Amino acid sequence: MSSPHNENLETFSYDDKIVKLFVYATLFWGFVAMLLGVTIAFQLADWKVNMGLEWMTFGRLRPLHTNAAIFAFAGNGIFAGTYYSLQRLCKARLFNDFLGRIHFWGWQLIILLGAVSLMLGFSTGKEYAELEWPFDIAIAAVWVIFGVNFFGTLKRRREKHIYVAIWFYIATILTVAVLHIVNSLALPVDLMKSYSVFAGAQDALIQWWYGHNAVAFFLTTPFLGLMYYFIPKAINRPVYSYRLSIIHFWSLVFIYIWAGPHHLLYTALPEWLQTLGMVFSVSLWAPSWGGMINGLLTLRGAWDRVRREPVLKFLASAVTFYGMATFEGPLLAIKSVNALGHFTDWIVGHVHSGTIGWNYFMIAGVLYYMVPKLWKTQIYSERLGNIQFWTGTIGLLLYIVSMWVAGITQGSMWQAIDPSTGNLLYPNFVETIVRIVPMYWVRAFGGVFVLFSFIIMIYNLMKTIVNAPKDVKEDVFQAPPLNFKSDGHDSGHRKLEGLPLIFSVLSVLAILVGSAIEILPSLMADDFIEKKEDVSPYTPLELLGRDIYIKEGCYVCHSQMVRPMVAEKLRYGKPSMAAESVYDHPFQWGSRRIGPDIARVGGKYPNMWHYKHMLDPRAVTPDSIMPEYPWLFKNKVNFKLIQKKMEVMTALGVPYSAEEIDKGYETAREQANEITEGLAEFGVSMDMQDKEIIALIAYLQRIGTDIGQEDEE
Amino acid sequence: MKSLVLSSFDMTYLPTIGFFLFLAVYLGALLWTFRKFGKKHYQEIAKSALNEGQIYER
Repeated sequence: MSSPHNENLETFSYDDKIVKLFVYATLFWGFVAMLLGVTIAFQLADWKVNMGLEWMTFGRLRPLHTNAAIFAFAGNGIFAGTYYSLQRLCKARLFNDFLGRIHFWGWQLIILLGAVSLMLGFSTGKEYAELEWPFDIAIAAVWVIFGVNFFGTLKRRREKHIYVAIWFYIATILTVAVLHIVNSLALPVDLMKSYSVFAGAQDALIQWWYGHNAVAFFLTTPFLGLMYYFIPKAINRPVYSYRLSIIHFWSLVFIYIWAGPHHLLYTALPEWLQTLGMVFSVSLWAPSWGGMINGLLTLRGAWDRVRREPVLKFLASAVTFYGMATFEGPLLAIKSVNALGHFTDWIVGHVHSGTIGWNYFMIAGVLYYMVPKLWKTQIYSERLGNIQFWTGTIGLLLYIVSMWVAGITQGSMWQAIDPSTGNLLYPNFVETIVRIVPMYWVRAFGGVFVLFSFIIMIYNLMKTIVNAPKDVKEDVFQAPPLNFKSDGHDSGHRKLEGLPLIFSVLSVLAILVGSAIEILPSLMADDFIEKKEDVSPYTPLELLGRDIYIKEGCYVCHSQMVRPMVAEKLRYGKPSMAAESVYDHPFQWGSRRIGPDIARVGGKYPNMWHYKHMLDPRAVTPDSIMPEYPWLFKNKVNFKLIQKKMEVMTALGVPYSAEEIDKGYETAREQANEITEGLAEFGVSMDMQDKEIIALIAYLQRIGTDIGQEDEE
Repeated sequence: MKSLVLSSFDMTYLPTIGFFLFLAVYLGALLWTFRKFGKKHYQEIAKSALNEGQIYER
């Protein structure tokens, strides 16, 4: 549309209503995610906070917390900041307002229904990707809508060159799509149950390629885009070095994708892949710190304002915590450090220095910048903003430091060996938990501080919005239309910056190189995993039991991966082999040991021990912090689904014969009867044979038994 | 066939290949970015983030 006053200028306005909707959603889901975080922190400090309720247990709420924090809180914050900055950087209104509304309401609906499904126990068992297949399809659809709106806006832009913040958004949109689709590939059993198409070591590799890069491309690159836009805007000064931002972008996008295997150090993954993951993780120091320095130096000469203004205080601190987290990440990826830190709370502390320090603080800075501008008013109280900052910072420091102490303490205790006897100094796992429970209390109260700081922000921003003038007209802007003609000086990267399609293709290529080199050999080479003749598929009842294990989120507390270390062999037994999990769709190697590793638990205890343990963990392990699972003794197993499950497994390559599938129901019933008969000798009723606990015992007793002790030598 | 090819391929070369790929991308971006005559251009782009468009007074 042309201005009546000047034919060379076009008039336009921005769709800020969509930004406002995402601002509200960010505040709401941020509160929910942090409330869940505090709840599960107290559950670890005192198991009674699990309340004996099926939907309240740690195993179900922890995936809900992580998904809510990443996709609901950070996700909505990203969308708010992206839509705000994209329109202004392009000097163009959003491509399609209606698509924006579908994006918003679709995303909220997915979060809401997904949250209910996780509490009901519908889970794929893959960390940060627990939502079942219908949600995966819905997420992909909404993401595509976001992408169409994003690239449509980019196409109608009135600025020739695409500012660096937009590059980070482009990398986010394309890479998240690739990661989500590949990692979610699964065959459905029914509407709310599916099995990953990948198994064992392959699944582990795909999962952590996804998991690590969800951090990279959902919690890092979009936030770097926000950093490159909002810090210069807040301080009204260009970014310190635009050249550095270009190098930052390409090196970060290229390197990040390779680092996934550092989540699998000392596992049954091939050694060369572990080394590759470690080397590229260490390489990440350079681009990460280059970006951090660029952000901080943009604030040079304005540190007096940082002391006064909440916007700059949050943005500066976010960048500082980004530096801390990206120093600690590569450090933990060095194998010798990882040997101590992996499976401990050190990792949990590291993750939260990123998600709270970097993501929450960045979102807070962005919201404090955007809300007064969107509602055309002043912030309600800068003092409250400062109080929020200090409350949040104190809470975060309590959180991080307590987790450092807990992680290093527990990791050291796991590895401690008595030099005089050659035995473990702390052979009882629960000893190592009891020692760190005080740190769990400190962490929980640190979380309360962080939650309280967020509530202060909700109050401050809502008061700002409520007090804002009501009858303000929408701003209309003018800018010349985009002239694609070259000024004769463009070449190389400058041209590239003006060509979003080619730029996008190159960005995707940058992430695909690392992905292909790391993943393709595992999918194509037959010798990627060693062969073991005696590894056989799960019996029908074990398969049903495994699904209960996944449903209850046992993997969030128990690993199934004995690392090739002296202390681990003494504590758990023979180190795990990749061949042992070739039929595991999905793999369940885990990432944290709040309870002991159970890769060799099969046959270690009698059935009755497991029966008592699930009913009252403290009856067999005094001081255990594990919740009780009374509903497993009431809920019936759906035996009728077993044939369908075996058929899907067969389609995925598990060698069940047609006869085994036909007799699946009877076989499962027979095994359940056999286990219950054994328990009946101790007074357990035979009525228990169709209950979930029996199937779960069948699975637990199978874990790690395929590789016999004769392989010890 | 592909299994035969891949099974005889020494996977330990992959980290080295990865390193050189990274080095090529990194040095390429570095040289490209710090070529002559770019300074003024990049300064203009960096400033463009601060400009939201001129407000139209109706």
